[in-house]
Amino acid sequence: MLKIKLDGLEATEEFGKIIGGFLGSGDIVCLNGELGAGKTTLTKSIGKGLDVEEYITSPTFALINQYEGRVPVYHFDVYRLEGVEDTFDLGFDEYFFGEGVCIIEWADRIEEAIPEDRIVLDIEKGKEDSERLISISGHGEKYEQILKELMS
Amino acid sequence: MLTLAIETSCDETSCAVLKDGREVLSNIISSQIEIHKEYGGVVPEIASRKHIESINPIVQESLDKAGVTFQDIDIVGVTQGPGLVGALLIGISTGKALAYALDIPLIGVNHIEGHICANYIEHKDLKPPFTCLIVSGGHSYLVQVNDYTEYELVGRTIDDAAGEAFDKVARSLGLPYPGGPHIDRLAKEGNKDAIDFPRIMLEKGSYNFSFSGLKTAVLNYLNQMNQKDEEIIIEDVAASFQQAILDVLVEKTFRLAKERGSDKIAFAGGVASNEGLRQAMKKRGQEEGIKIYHPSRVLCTDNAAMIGSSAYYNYKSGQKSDLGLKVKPNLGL
Amino acid sequence: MKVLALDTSTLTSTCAVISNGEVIGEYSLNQDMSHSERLVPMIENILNELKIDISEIDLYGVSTGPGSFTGLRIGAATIKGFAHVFDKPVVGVSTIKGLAYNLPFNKIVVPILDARRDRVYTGIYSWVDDEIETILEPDVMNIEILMDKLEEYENIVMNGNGISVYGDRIKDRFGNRVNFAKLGQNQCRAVSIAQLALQSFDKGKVDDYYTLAPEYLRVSQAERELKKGE
Repeated sequence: MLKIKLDGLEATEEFGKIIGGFLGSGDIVCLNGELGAGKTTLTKSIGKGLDVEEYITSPTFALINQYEGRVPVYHFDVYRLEGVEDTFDLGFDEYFFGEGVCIIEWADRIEEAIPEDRIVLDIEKGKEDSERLISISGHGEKYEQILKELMS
Repeated sequence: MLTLAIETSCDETSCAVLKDGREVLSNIISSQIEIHKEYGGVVPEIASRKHIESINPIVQESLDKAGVTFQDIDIVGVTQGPGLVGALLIGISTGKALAYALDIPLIGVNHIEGHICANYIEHKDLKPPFTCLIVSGGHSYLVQVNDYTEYELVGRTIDDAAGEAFDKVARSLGLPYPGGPHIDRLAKEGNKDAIDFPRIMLEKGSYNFSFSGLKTAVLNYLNQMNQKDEEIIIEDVAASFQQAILDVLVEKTFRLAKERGSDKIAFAGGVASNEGLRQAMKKRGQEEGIKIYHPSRVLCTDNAAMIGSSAYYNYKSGQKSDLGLKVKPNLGL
Repeated sequence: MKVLALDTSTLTSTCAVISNGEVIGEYSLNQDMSHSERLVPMIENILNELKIDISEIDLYGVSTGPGSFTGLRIGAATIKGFAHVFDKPVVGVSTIKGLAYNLPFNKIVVPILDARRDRVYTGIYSWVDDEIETILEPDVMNIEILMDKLEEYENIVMNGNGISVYGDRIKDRFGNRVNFAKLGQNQCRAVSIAQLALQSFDKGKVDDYYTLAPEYLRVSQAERELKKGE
């Protein structure tokens, strides 16, 4: 687990790009945080790090948006699945175990459906408006690798 | 020329038969809204399952209602995108099979263009050029329509689509899905000036939209009121929020129309059913001497007739797809 | 009697034509899922080569799962479209049964498709006289549970993409009691779907092109409870 303080929009964008740069086929990133914490904003920067050129917009309506980057990027927003009993048959497996990168906003709402190997970013607002505190946790090879790179 | 059109880009399975691009002989729409209510909105996998179950009966119904058979059809139009990939594939696969079996042309259609064409069906006298605003749950676009198949994409949302903002705010107000119509209804009884929500115009001269800041402002307002234990007047919130969206939509649409010298403005998409938007557009249109067009309710939602219209015009301009038509979930204009 | 069948449940996209009891054509591509999008051109190609017009097809067969949800629906939508236009019968065939049909005359045949998270789509079949019989209907289950069920058998033949994932574990446990199919029988084949469709048709069992839909095979309630509890 690692905690990082980002003191502005630029720092957050830089951070997102760096994370995106590490990601590849099969990786899963979970983004948790309250409304307005900046999950979609962070996703846009991660997308840049994955060479996604299109506008990344909120997938709340469609649940899953997909983009073409270095690899396919599947952007989830499962906000409205809170309280849904059964997330197993919603067809997510084809994405979680597919060839692309999955970025899941509000991931803690479908926690049990997400494979073990994942990178989890918990975003909190800091004292200042544009400040963000990111806690990085997770499981698996890619997570370990990212942790190592970030700490150096 | 008879067009058989199929639309399965989201949670409505629809099939239509059109004559010459504007005359609708049938427009069958099977909505899945009730099924997705539990999930607060569409779930792509569930939508896809429903599409495969209903597509053939819907196709048949559209033929029956139009009083024609497969053999009478001249071209097949099908939504290629944008939309939910799994859902789109049902329509596309069916369209390909029908086109091949009947040995007739297949035309892949852009769903957004379909929304624009909904106005041609509704208003027989409407011809390009005109300025067009397309607003729905999944899309917000401002387009200059130069000809039947020539568009200039001038503005789009850089975060939430307008309809999405409606749905999110509605949800936080405890209203059921889909929230747009409920906000529209409540807004009529509320005071649109009660709360000063931001009208986000972005940088000077921009035709793009950004609704996520407005959404955050509403949510912050509700949070604060809850913390202060003050009563939230839901009608006022709805009215003020709706006005903030409408102001931006109307302002940018008219600014573009005037810049391009358009004497006509059309708008379409699910949010085009919003009474508030219709009135605001009409009023401003009268003030500016610009004629306003919008489709009837049925043609505002996703439907195959509008796809058929677009297919017809594309075919007439020489476009045709091949049987390997690829799905394009992120198709833009 | 002409039969057109296809299978798009896995990475393999395959279509076949049987005419008067003979296989006159079969295409099979096993590379990536985009082949499912090339399905109609593939069919057009094979029928052109065979100089058969699609209107001449008397019976349609399609694999209805389990497998890739998207792939299954592409196949189903395509076949239903054809059957609808010409008002011809269609038969849905289990992907697992189709795989088992690739390995005739084996006592016990167990196809396995990877369903991820240590689970497989599977079924248990036996060849009695010269026809296939179902011992366990297609289902999805944990690989360990399948292996427990297979303990009672001596000579097991297996095929399917699950072997590349779980093959080692199976060999460890069953040793010589299990054999894995060779390349030619390991993938879904439209010819098997076609034969099974024909069999079903001959017995008077056909499906309705209005209602035919894939079988996705739900993870059991018990398993879901289990996962939640973990």
